Amino acid sequence: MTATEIYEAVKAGVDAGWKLVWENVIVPEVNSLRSSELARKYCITDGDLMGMLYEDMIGNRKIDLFRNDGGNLWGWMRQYVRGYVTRANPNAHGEFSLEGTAEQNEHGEPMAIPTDDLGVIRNEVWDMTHRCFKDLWNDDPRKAYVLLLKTRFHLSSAEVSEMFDITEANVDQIFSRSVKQMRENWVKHEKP
Amino acid sequence: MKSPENKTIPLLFWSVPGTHAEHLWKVRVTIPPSATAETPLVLAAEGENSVPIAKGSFEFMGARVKIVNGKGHLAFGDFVKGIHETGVWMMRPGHPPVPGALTFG
Repeated sequence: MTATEIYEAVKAGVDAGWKLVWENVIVPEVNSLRSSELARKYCITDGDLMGMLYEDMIGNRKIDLFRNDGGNLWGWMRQYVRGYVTRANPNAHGEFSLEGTAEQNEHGEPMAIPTDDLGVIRNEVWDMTHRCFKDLWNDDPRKAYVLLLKTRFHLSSAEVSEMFDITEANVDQIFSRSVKQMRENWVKHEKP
Repeated sequence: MKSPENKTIPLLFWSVPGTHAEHLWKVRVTIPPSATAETPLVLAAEGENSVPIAKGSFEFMGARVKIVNGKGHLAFGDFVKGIHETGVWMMRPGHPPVPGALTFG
């Protein structure tokens, strides 16, 4: 199927098209470092995400917003799925907490069977950050410096611009590009 | 060209591990508060097991910094001038030149 045929199939709600959505959007996102832990925490299954995406795309006609001009349909849809996961925190909306309804032990703490070693996950994320940062450095060290100074040392754009003798607007532009590139590097390294 | 007031910025450069992760080194470059073009930055260079590098040459930011007893110096102005340089190399007697890069932490 060509990209246009795939888009038309997805838009029409055809099974073949939505099978590809499952394979290229839902499964990779659910297995991604970014979403897997949150999805488990908020008890969202891949089936739930597929349902939400279908309802949004077909029910609410969000698919019409996609400009079919050669852009990456799967990447575009993954942004939606990522949003469902990140916005699923019940505490963030002032609703009741799923954690609060769990059975409690004698100390009043919610009982849960640990399924992940948080230390391992944290180390993996840290390693991945370094890997992506190295790619950024190889592309343009200036991007790496700006990202490091703004995110790790909390310098303002004005401070960075004064350090490197470039304009503030330029700093913001470099920073925005470096963040975008870090995200792209992350996706690149996540691919099996 | 001036670094922020009241903020010391430590940048860490590490060797890129080779096949057997040998000849490791790390260099911490400290940018002091309110540094101007002439302000010297202090480089602290360590080899394996955090032992200071007695003698060597550290190539970064397009400049070659002499390392003696684990310390080296580079003017802040020269540091900023070489901001586009990707090449980072540690050269020590008895070791092959080992490349490195800036790290996030």
